[in-house]
Amino acid sequence: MPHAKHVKAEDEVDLTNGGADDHRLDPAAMLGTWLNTNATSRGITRVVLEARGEKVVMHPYVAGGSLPADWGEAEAESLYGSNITAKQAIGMVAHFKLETMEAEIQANLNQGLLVVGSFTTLLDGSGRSCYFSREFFHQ
Amino acid sequence: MESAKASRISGGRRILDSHPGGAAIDPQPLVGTWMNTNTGSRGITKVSVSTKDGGVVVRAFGACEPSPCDWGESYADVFADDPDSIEGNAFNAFYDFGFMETRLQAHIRQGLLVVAKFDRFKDNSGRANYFSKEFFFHAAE
Repeated sequence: MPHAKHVKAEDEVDLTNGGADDHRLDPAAMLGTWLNTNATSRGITRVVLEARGEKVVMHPYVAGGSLPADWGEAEAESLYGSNITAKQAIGMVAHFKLETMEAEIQANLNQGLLVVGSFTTLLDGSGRSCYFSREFFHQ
Repeated sequence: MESAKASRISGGRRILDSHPGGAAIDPQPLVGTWMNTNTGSRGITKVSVSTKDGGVVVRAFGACEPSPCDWGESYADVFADDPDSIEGNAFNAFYDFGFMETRLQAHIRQGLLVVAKFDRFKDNSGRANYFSKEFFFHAAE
């Protein structure tokens, strides 16, 4: 019985009947404007996710201060479901690169919230650390 | 049952090189062996974090039979929890297995290592890309 390659048990799948071609994920549940649950956040204050054809585009807005207030838009590098048979997207990864910083955003839905993990690398020569933050957003 | 081993060490940069112009972050809070709090996990069973050649290396093990699948080593990027701290409390690692790519987003919270995993399949096996999150405790050395 042929099985697809895996490196953990949760990825095991029987390929007896061949693999399915269509594993697209529907991003509908992720789309919209998400507001930080922390009104005094000095990080990302708002995230807008919208569909452009088959792509999802992320646009974060930041409180400002030491970071640019508008990071512009970036397409999701990939969408992610909740398991190997999922049809709905609950997660995404996007990259932003500006003159003074770059960030990898890894976001996922959890209990109606959008959880946004941000790995920020500062390129401004300020001597400050690269840092990780995790914030929660609601619609 | 066919399983695949990690194809190569991938991702990450040396600590001194990874954040040019930035502070050198101390990875010590992350270093050690982290065991999944769920002994019945079908995902990652163990994560080992160590320092090597000026960088931070992650070695993950997946739940496989008869023994865990060793994913091999991957250099990780280490991050502090704010720009004015030099204490590492998070890392970002990447594995390319050929048939699948996995991003690990990990951070310490209340003494646990919280690992978010983003798996992207490249083999037309019909499996959806998916996200999952697991919790690990620091095993006594």
